[in-house]
Amino acid sequence: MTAATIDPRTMTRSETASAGPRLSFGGLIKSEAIKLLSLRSTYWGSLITVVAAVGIAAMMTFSLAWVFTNGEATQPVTDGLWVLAANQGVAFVFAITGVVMGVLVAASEYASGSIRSTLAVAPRRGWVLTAKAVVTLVYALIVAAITEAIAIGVAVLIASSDGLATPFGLDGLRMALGAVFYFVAAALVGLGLGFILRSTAGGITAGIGLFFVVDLVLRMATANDVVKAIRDVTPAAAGARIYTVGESAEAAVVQGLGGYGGGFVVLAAWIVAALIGGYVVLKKRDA
Amino acid sequence: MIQIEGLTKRYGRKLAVDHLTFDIQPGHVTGFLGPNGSGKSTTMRLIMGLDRPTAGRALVNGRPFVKSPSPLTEVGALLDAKAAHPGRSGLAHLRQLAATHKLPRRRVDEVVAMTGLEKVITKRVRTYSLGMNQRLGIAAALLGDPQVLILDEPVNGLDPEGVLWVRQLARAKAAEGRTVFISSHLMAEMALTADRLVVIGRGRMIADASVEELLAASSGVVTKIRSPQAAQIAAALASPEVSVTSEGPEMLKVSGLNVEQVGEAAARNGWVIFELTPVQASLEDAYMRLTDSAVEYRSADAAPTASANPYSTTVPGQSDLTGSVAQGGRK
Repeated sequence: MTAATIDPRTMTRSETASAGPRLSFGGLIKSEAIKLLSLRSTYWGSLITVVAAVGIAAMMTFSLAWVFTNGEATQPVTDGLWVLAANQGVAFVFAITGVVMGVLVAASEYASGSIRSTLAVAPRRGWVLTAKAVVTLVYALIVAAITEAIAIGVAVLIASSDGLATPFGLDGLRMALGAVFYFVAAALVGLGLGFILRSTAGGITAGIGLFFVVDLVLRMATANDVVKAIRDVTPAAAGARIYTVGESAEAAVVQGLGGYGGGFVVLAAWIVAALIGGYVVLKKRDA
Repeated sequence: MIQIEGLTKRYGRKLAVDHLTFDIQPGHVTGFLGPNGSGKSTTMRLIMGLDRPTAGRALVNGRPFVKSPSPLTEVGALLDAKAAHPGRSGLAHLRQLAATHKLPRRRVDEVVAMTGLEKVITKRVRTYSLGMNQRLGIAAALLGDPQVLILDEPVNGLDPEGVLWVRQLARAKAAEGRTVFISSHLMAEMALTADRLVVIGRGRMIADASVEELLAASSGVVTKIRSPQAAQIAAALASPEVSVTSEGPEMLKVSGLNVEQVGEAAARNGWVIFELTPVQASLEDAYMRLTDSAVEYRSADAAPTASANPYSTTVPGQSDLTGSVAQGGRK
């Protein structure tokens, strides 16, 4: 049994003979999917996302429709206006529940101690994090798409019941996609934060801080170029550039980060940064 | 086969594992003993690659465990009874572990049946007792039918039937030529299960020996005598090498002389002897003596002698065991 007596030829043969089960990335994806779908908190979180997002979206739509039906609107209904109204509510909820969902996927493993059984069967930590990210991304995409579809449907229903036109147009599609991506971004940034901080409370606090507080504080600060430049790259401002069209699509101080495309770039950068941070901590620190 | 070479782990200022070197051979049950906080769990975590060693290394089948292409079939580990998410059912926990290596669903059902969890497996882990958690952890360890089994305190919280089952399981796996490494802080349990014992205290090696060797080395030679002439005999036998203590009006305990030597002395001196018995120290005694000065968390009534010479019982080889153990004494 000593290492010295192992003949490489016989080893190769015996290994091919017993080509039994192996750890695979595909297997890890399935494992992470089972994990996510076997927790009640996943379903509760999704349900809360749908109910809260659709509810607040409906309220936003009602108030905007009221402005029109009372003749206080100075402009006619534009393309995707009702998507814009719905997204005012949807995006607020998405940032919160997205972060919570992502943080939970990572931090609950530490809270429960299950990270030890996870890494004992899958010691390749990079694979573990990537598999979690892929599963989180797919699940977040589904939840966000369903929620956004219902929210837009409800908004259109409210507007048309008031006899208002409901043109969707390209802008409507762009904003709908933007809102869905905003949720995915919040979830993946949350996942990274969960791995970095290993604590549900800490991760959620940091995520909410990043998605709400930073932007809020900067809005109150003097609007010099530095503050403006920082605001270009906060997740909240970047998100607003993709789930609304027009008002927030103001020119950015930093070249290329403004507008619809710039919003995606900034959010993608946050995702990458959070996941790299999570990977470094997962790789370097003791589990 | 597990090789541990100069393994060291420091957490901040605390040296949890201090230059441990030993091999864990296949075909045997190796018991890993030490008081609470002596570094047993840390050593196992280092073997599993969960923690990174400060120095040294641990190899499983010749390579670090994290490099294994098939971790689940190479090592099955029970590291912590609470290593499953409480909100998940036991079944979902085992299924997600099996999925990583694409093990068939049938294998999950097999380990559930083996560990007797059929009735509770669809319930959430939150509702499990410590014993059920322990069984779930063992089921997870057995999932890949691994070559190496690492079980950290597996009998904690188990009922007597469960304890017996773990013991038989460990022995059966060793008999199949697998490597079985079990930690415990209970010597009596290990004496029944293990062939070899690795004893550590405060992260350091205290003994690495077979159960028999450990017993022989630490009990010394003790003989019990019952005689109406107890006082006379005590005075005659006492010498620098032989200590005699009174155990009652007619009872003596003689350390350093075996029954033959006492019997011959009795014949020469014409003593009346009612009873002459060789005394073997229990394994528990031996363990207490070995680890006495290496206990991390001492009961309040014990004297704080440990700080004076904490490693007085640390011995490199077997031959030294008796001498250094004797001075350790029981608390």
